[in-house]
Amino acid sequence: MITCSFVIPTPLQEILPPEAIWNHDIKFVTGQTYQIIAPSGRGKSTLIGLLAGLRGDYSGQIHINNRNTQQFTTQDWANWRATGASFVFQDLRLFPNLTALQNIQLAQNISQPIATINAIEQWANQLQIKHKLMQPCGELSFGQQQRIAILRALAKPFQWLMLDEPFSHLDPNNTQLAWQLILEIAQQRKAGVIITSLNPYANILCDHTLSV
Amino acid sequence: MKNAPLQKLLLRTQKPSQLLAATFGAMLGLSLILIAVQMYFNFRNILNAPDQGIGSQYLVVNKEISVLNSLNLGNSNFETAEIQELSKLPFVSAVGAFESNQYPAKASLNLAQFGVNNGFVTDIFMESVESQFLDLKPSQFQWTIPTSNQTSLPEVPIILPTDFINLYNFNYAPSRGLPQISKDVIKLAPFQLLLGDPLKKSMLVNARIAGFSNRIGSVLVPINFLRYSNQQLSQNNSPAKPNKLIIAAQPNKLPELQNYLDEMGYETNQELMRNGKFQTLLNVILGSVAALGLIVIFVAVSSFVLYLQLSITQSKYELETLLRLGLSHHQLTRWYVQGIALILLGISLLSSAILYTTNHYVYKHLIRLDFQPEKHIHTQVIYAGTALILAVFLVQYKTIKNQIFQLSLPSKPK
Repeated sequence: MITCSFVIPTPLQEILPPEAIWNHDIKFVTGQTYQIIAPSGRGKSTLIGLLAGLRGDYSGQIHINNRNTQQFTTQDWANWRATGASFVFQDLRLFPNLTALQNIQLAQNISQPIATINAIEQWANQLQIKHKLMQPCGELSFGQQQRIAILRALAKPFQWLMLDEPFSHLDPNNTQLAWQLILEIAQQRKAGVIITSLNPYANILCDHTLSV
Repeated sequence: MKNAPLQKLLLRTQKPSQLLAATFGAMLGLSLILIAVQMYFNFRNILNAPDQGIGSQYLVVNKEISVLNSLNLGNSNFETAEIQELSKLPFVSAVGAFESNQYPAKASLNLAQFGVNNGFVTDIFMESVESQFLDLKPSQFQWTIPTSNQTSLPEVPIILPTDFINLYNFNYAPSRGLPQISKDVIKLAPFQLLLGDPLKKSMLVNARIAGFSNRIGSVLVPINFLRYSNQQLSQNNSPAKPNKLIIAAQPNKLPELQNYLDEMGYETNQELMRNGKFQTLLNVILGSVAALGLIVIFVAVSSFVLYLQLSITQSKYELETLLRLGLSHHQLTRWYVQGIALILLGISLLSSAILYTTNHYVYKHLIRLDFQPEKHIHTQVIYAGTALILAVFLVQYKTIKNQIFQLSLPSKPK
């Protein structure tokens, strides 16, 4: 379980919107899906950054599995990112000179291999991207790269899947396919999902929706 | 984790030329230092070798002979007080007095058994000094005082100055058409010494050359033989005052000693003095080479550190992403450190090869010059090399660790 108790990111302290996710007591329960909908500049990516341990500029308290993250060491964060949570960042963070498959497998090499090459190919097939697996990521379109980043996140172990505007460059059909795959695998692993977007998706239904 | 994709990721950003230059510099610096240390031990061995004392810190000192001496009005003997004053000087570790024969002496050599017809007879003098001042102590350089029932005296070993045999071989023998004689051959020559005045009291004793000294330019016999023969043959009963002293100087204190000797009007062998200065000069040269090596290593290590910092900075995106994927900074540090360790291992091996080759070459050269240098690499050199490599490794390890740790911290922009 992840709890955010009256968290305010430092850059948002001046312009804090009244009914934000910020400065409230919010619980994210493992196994549940959460959609956070907000316009730009309201701190969607900041929330993912805080939960990934990438930034520490906030007031309030964040607890991950009942531990205050202020007390996390860099090694605790590394462990969390290796097996606790898996991310799709808004800027994707793929390696353009590695092939799509190498990108996916790199994450696997870091933690325990959890998906076989067959599984990865099957997932890629579901997302209609299998034929791009051997191409360098730098040569793929942003929408194709988004799907590779989703596959990379799915291929490593996680209790939480955190996706920052993962479908921004996908058409509704591909969005639907990707969301299905995400839900399927998250349910298999009894994992929680946090997904952010600018607008509500017509074909995505989450257990909880937090609108800012 | 597998390293192949990491290499592709992290080594992509940097050209290898700077790394090669830094590696070459570190290897050069390390080699220079190791060679300097090895040469220091090599030359220290030679300079301090008992019978190769080209840099010996021993001086033979006498008083200047003036016109008064020639007129028999002055004397060149050292008084007890003067010797005591010398031995109390801070830069003097020991003073020894030469004793000499107080009777006439002749040496003869019959070479008939070697097939040479003309033997020779010559007047000689003999001197002795306490054995601690000798630069060589052949086991045969001993003499036992005969017991009263012995009819003939035991054979007397003699140490000659190396200059003597050189003068014979290169000046005297060619001018007379005589064969040159090696040191080993002359040691076989049976000399006879006729000591004392044959008309009054004399002794006949066999003698043999036991060795050659570079340090003392005199004919040396064991001190107990000299005292025994003086006691038996000397006309005057009181022991003569010494007119030559041998001084052992403290290491590297020759300039002070020289000043003192000049002040007192004492004379010494300038060649030996120069040899002493040569040792100091050699130390300065080797010290300079070592210092140069240190500077080169410092520059190379700085260049290494810069390379690493630049490399890590240029791979910031890759490193941050790997951290976001769950790699710990320990794992990333280890990856870099493994690479550095491999490079340092290569540097160590190459420097060792350079050191070994240089030492081998110098060894062969010095052997040809009749020295006995150190054949093997000195343990201290190995210690110094290991310490340097470890120090370089530590500096690089700290650099890598700090930089990657900074990347792994949650950012707190102000």
